[in-house]
Amino acid sequence: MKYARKIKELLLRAYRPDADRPEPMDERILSDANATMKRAVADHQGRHRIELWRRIMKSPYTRTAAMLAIALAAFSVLFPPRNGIVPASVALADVQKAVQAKETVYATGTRTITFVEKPTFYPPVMAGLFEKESNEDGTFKLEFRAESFLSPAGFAHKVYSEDGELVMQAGIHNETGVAIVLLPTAKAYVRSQMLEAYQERMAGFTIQGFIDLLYRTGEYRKVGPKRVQGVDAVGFEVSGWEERILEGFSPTIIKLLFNLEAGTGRVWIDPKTNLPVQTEGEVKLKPCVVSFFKDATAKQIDDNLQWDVEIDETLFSPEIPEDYQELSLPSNMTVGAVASGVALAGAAPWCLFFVRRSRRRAAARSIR
Amino acid sequence: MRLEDRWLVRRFNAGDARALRRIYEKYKPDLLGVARALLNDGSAAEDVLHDVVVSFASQAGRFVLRGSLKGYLAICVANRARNANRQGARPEPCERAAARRTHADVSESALDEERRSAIVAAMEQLPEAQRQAVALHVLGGLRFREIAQQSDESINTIQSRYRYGLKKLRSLLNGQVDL
Repeated sequence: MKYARKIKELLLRAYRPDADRPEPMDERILSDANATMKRAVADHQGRHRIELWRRIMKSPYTRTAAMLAIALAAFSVLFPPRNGIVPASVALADVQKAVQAKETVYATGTRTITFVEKPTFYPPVMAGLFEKESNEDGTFKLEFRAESFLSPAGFAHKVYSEDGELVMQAGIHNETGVAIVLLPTAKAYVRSQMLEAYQERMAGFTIQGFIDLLYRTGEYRKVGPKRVQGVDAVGFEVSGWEERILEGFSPTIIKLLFNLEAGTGRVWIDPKTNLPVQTEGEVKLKPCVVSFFKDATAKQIDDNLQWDVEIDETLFSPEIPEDYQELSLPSNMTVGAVASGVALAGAAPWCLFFVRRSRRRAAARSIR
Repeated sequence: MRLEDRWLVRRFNAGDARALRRIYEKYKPDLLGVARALLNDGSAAEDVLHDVVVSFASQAGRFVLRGSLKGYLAICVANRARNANRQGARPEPCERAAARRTHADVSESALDEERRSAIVAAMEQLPEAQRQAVALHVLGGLRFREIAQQSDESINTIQSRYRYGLKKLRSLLNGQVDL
């Protein structure tokens, strides 16, 4: 087979270019290929992000996590680690009764989410939130003002950016089970019919349920008194509650979707009325779906609570402007997306107070 | 080699321009050799190489490496060259003669013009399948198994084509080149 070797040598010498010798075509080919590669990677990342979010949100686990998110947010507002004087003048049961006696609530406050570094993986419709630069220490902070409206007819929530621009409006109508989220900055909306089973589970998460849990465990603390909102308020505080509230759920699922490291919640009660005057919540999140896969700390403070006010019920079914585009998401995604988004923004607490009951409609001040 | 290729593909999928350049520089001689052998036209071979590299780049972000990277790229070159030939893009004989002279620039100092012309002419007379098997194995440096996998043929078929191709080259070169 000597001839075979000879032919191979001839072929190599005839056709194979010198590897070390650059040719004019090299830069042209590489330039075109580079531009194509950049476009392809950008396209792929966009598609991949959407697909992944769809897959996550379609999962039944996400719905469970979304529900838990709401429950945890509510819990954090009610109770939060600090020893203090325990005044005997206010009892949890009194608070429970006073809250139950109220029909509606309107609350305003702040929501702050601090990420250890800027998230890079988020739903495309949220891209606008992540346009600003990170802080000097590398952290990334999102701050919002929030308004919450709650009545037996439903729950509404508005979130404003630091500039006062409305970035999200959500409404859930209890009777119809329709949830609508408007995203004005994206001129988009999500509309979803909440599943019956989901509504039933939601209905179980009421203030009563939490208070029952606290009574059972007895692991809350009274703190204060402290001057809050012009009154000498008494605080109920609980920490480490995330483990108790998550009982019965798979730890693997929770860590993927709602990976809580530590949470504290505090509610300040006016001893005269036994009603909350300020709520505070803080939770540390390890990388998971709702923290956009970064370590983060979410804080919420509602410092303006008004009880038994008249609430415009159209807020629970907000009108969708004609020029808004519906986000074509799978139907079961929207429930999770709505709930997760609302919960992450710290919107949920108040909607749970009145999910299950309607006792009386008080004539009260109008806020709109 | 495979390890480096996997790493390069990972970086390439992340949009790393250096990884793309490294892949290009690493495999350009093999790919261009295959293209020239199958097309016998320097500029057409460069066009095929350009198309293959740009097409490969368009898969960034989602390219999955199965088998060898060189094998994949070389088969892409062979397929495009075959298509170009079928579409009549193959130059006329006089143009091919000119192309040969262009080739000669590359390796004139190393190869006698007469012998080089003889081997180029002999390659042109090979049936396409045999020429492809010879080009991919000798110039692309691919193993028969790789060629078979990438072209969805049996390994015996590829080996037979290569063997027949070499025999034919030998008979065509007989008397022109000292073998």
